[in-house]
Amino acid sequence: MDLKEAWKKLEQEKLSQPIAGSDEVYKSSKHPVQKLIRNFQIALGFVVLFELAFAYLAVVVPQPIVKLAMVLMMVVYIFYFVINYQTLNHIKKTFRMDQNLSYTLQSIYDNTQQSLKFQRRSALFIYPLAATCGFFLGLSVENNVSAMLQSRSIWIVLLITILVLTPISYYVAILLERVGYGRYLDQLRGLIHQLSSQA
Amino acid sequence: MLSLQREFTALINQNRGIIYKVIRLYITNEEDERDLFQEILFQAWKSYPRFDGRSKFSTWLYRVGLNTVLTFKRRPVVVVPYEDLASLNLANAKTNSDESEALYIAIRQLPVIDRMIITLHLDGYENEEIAEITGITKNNATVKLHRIKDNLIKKLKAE
Repeated sequence: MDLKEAWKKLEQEKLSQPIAGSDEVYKSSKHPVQKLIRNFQIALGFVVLFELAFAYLAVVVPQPIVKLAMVLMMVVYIFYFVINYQTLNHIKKTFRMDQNLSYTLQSIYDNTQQSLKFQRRSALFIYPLAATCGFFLGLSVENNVSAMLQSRSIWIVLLITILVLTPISYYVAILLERVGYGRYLDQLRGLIHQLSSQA
Repeated sequence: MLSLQREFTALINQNRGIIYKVIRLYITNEEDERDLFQEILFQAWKSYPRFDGRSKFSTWLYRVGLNTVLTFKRRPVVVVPYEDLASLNLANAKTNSDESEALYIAIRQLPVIDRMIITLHLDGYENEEIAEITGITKNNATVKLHRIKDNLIKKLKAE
């Protein structure tokens, strides 16, 4: 059999025939990397919302210590914004289907994992700070926070709050990370493995 | 933007056959065919602003199509929709259609990367272009192509 001749025939008879419904207008992608992009965009949206909320509270709450706490939280969220924005930017720049596929997917996978790992680690320092800021904000509703901090029992309650909330927040964040990024990263890892095993 | 879109649409219309071909070689389900067609168009449109014209548009589209098909999440296949090679009785193949159908089935039985390499070769691409599209080295493409051709011919003769 002449392969090239059989191929030409195959092209004419089967391969080049139009696909039903292929003229529909395209709207969105189901690609795992596209889902990662969308979820990073959503995360950035939430960061901006929280920034606005902290800014609002920093303005309306009169107590200086609470104002300071809100400004600190704004700085923390700027840090998260920068990290997430850089990760999103890297994915968008790297994700091109006209480039080497293994390299593209590996680079996106490694960079995203690195970013999430860094956020997980830094969160261990940030959650105690966030718990303290939340604690002050809660106290400020009906009390003078600076005056209350003179009491030793308030410091003990604050310490307990930090000890309880930090691990809970950490595990909730990991759970949310699994929902938002984990399954798509798993899909990417599967694809990378499939490509490398066939190359 | 509008002129870019017009230019892109015109190029896609001229090269639609490439997308159909890529899909037919890798997908068996009609719904997946439609989804994949749209996914390839989406990815091509997203990458098009950075298409620098160093390679032909058809080569570039081939690469986008193949890369997209490799990362496309297929619906689970319940029934194998194509016949086994044996049922075609190739030894007694009388017409060109039987031969091309046998070739189609034999190609579809190859691993995906091998399928890519042989179809690009049959489409007339040089080894260097095959290497560029598939992202492997030229030497690797040459060695693989030789092995795949032997394997394919053996498969077709055996039936």
